[in-house]
Amino acid sequence: MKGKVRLGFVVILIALAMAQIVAWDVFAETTIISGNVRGSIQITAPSGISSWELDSLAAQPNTQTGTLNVKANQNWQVKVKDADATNTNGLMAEWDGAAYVSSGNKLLNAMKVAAASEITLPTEGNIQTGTKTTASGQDVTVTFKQTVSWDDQILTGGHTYRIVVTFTGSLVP
Amino acid sequence: MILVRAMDFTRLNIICIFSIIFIFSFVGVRASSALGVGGAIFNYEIAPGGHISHEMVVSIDRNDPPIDIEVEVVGFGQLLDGGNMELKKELDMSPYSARTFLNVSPTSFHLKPGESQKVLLEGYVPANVGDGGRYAIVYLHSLPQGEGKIGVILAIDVPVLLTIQESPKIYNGEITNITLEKPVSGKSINVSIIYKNTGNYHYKALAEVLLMDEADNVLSRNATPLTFSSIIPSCSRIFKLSLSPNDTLMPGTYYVNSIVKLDNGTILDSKKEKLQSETKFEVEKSTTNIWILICLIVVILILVSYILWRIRRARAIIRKTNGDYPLELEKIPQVA
Repeated sequence: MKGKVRLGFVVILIALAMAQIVAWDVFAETTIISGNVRGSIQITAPSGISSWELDSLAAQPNTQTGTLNVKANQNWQVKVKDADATNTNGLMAEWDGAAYVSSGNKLLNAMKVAAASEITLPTEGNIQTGTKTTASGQDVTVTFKQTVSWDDQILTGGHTYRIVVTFTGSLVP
Repeated sequence: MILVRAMDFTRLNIICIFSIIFIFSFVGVRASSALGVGGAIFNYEIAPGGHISHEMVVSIDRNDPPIDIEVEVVGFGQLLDGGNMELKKELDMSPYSARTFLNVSPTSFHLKPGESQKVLLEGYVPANVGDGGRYAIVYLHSLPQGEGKIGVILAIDVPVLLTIQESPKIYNGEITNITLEKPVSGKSINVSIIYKNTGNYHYKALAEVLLMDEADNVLSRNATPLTFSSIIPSCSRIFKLSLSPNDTLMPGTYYVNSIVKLDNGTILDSKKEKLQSETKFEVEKSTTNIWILICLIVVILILVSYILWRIRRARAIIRKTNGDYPLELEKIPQVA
């Protein structure tokens, strides 16, 4: 008799333990965290150049350099273009400080922009490609090249020659 | 008192110099703003009729000057070198364009130093969109910065590549142009291939060229690496290679077989071009360093042998004069 009572007691204990395990499983909450790193790119173009003395007597082309910095977490490319087909279209044009001069002078030779590749504006094209960078990014030396002819006009009245270069960065598909 | 004044003056000078250096370095080093975009590529699989939503975060650094940004969705074109081309509505003729059913908001905004702005790309894919892939670019750009001779516009292209679910992907293409430079003795044969993706999906490809004689014997072979970026449907890519045959090519008829293929070896297109060589063609072999090294070793060996020979001769003379070597004196040259 005592043996049967003990056995029953053990069975009840086991049943209770099983129930507890099932209860734990039912009420346990699992937080699943999933995510991914998004493709990101940051581009710092060379600052605009204001004091460039273009000289027809100097070694041609006249050059100015600047630094482009790219931070990217996958393959990237940077291209240049002259977005202004009306006023400049690759040629530095007369600027009065606020706007391009209507029917103003233009330099006779197109500007070239070079890094790993050289592009003659207004043609657009990649000047540099690269792979995933470090946190400090990749510095790229960009050279602006402008040939000055003896036939180029000297501007007066505070006017200068100007062009706007677009630097476009992109992750590579 | 005079000493103190002199020291003050020196200190003042140092402060002035450092101030000038600081001001000039600040002006000289200052770059344009750093324009950054999170979510800068959108590669997504979507069912016809499905809704697209992609958030981008545009930001500038804390130390940057304020900047005005404009955003628009444009067609996805590509330059021959693989660079993106932002195609406005009037130029975007591709049947694989996603520009028509995508919108961004806001389309312009002002960022102060350290600020960021969320930009949302949204749209519904038409139910009858078709197969393969659909493509667009979210073009973010600043207004011109800098008042001087060269102004700068900062821009970022966000490529949008949509894959239409459960639709066949067609990997087709066509070599549309081959340019061969006629063989000139002493130079390689340069080959340019223009290849167009005529399929409905983007992919990377490589080009291979074979120089063959009339009996189809391969005389030279070269291949490019896989393209850095995928070729978008309807877009073309240029491959540039050179061939340098090992043996002299006699005047005659040759063939250049150009092949464009996928990474897995699947041939997308090939074309055979006739190459007529009027003169004997031999590529100049560059002098390799190993030959210079061999020549140097030979010269050194000759010199060492000569020196050893002279030493042995001198020793022989010394022994002879000491009388312990039975040589005839008249046959040994006199040493001064």
